[in-house]
Amino acid sequence: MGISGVFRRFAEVVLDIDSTELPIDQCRALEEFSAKMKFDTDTSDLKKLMGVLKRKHLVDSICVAKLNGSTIASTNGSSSAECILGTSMFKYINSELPKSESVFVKVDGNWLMLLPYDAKMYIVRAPSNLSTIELKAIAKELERALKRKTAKQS
Amino acid sequence: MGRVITLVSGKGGVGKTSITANLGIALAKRGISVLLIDADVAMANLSLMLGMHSSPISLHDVLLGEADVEDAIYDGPAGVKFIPSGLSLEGYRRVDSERLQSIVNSLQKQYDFILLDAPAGIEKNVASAIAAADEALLVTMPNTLSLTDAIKIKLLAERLDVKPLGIIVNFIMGEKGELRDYEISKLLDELPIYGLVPYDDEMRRSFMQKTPHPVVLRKPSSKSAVAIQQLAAKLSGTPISIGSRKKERQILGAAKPKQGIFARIIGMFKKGKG
Repeated sequence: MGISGVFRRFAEVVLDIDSTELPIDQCRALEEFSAKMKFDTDTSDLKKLMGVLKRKHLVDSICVAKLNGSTIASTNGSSSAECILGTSMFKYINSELPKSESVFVKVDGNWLMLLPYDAKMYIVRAPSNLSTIELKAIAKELERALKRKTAKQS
Repeated sequence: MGRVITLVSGKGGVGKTSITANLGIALAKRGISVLLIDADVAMANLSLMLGMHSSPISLHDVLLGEADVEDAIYDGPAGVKFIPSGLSLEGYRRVDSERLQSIVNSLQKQYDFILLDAPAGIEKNVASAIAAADEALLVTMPNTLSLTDAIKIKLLAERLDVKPLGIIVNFIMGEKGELRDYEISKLLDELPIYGLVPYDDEMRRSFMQKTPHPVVLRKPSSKSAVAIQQLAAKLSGTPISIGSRKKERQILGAAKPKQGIFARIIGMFKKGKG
């Protein structure tokens, strides 16, 4: 190490010449944001799980129906009407456009999304459209809970 | 079944693609079968980082159902296999990135590791790249800007039921204003730090060659290459056989909390001797 190297090293290491500083307020804000985003989906109560999923995926409502339109589970008060509407709409579209995988309808600025998954219809309403991948993730989590519930009952 | 891991960051420019390329090669150098997939269907550049230019069949063609996935697999450096993404904007417009998951599933049995280089952002293509994997490694820089995006990406991975495996902190310079590894882990809900990669000019220079050579091949004893090889050792569960313990300490030292003045004076002389 030459003499200039020694001085440079002295300035960097001993005098600690470094004008940067940790943005502590930003870190606090991030910590608060992170703390609000914890979702415990490990619950045996289906109703509770659906509520958590609603918050986790930022959606307004989730309904699960059998393919004949009867309700399995729902987070809103108009579940019967929603399940019949969702299943019949999907059946109609599928009859016109066979092999439809999902249906997304923009209604009054909000989205109605229909996804058939494992012989059930998942009907989700949200202010923005989710990707099919995210809809499937909701369906998978609910499917697991429904299977747990069925296994417990039998 | 091999492990499928997406390297994802949210923010662009944090070194995700460089780490994916180098990590894949570091794993392949250990005799592990590795497939790299450029899941950035819009802004593909992993092939350029691997020093490859010609790839007539790409992931675009496979996602469009116009080519077989086996025909899109190319030989990369050090025995790594590689699926490039297409460069055409038209191809990008037409592809359905949601098909990525089934493509990855069809290849999972053939490789020990499949690493996906995810795009930046939080949109559909990013979700597709995350959902196609079983685990996600979050790449971030030690500052609040990239950490904010990393937090959102962690939430997205959790929404998609993909396990966030840990954090790779890249471009560590050891400045006072940088977040330390334990602070980053705390802000990401105690997600473990998986790797610490220091800022290294050699990494930057690796892509400024006539034919780019990833740093683990060009300068395997450089700071960043050693850190990436440590990461590969951790991922594969095989012991590290490069560099010395001193070098390892130097790299990890970049993320340690600031020392007092006397410790710094002693440290300076110790470092001066080495």
